[in-house]
Amino acid sequence: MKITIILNGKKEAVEDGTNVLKLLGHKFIRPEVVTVELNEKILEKPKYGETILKEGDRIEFVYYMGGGSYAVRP
Amino acid sequence: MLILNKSLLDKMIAQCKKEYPNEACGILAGKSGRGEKVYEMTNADKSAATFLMDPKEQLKAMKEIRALNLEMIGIYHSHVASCAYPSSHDVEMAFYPEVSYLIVSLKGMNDPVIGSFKIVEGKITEEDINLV
Repeated sequence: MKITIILNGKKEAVEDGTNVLKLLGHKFIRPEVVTVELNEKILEKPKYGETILKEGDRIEFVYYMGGGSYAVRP
Repeated sequence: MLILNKSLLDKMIAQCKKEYPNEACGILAGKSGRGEKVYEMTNADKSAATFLMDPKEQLKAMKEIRALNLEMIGIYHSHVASCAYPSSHDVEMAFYPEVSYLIVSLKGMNDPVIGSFKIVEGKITEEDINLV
């Protein structure tokens, strides 16, 4: 059975019982480099595996945006 | 090629100067490679050598960009004492292959230099900026 979630603003059908970690895996997204928001609240990484998605959940993920001149030659 | 209105470039440079001596960062939104809006972001690292965008601000900006029917087309930051070219750290943190990575060098504070790059699987390709 499938449920419908809103992923980054778009409807998406996922298997009932899917957790956040599994969803990221399906999208080939490394959990260590993204921030995940579930229903307007940022989800702590240790909870990705234990958070089961529910019908109508709104999930957003963004990759870290970082970097900097560290290690660059002037 | 990235198409950029000069007023947007001026806004980015002004922010980079304002944040000096720390690195500044932000998101460029637009469509079809043409910049339309700049989102100034907080450098959570508050560092002269690194930047990391505040995740709450990132999420807010991404939702607004979507609501405006735009796309994130660029991620910019400053190098306060080095050239406008991606560092190894920039490459490690380049998770969006479809966007332009813009770097504003303040090595010459009175003569900032900007470069734009695509970074795909660790490969850096410089692209032209068409100022309009």
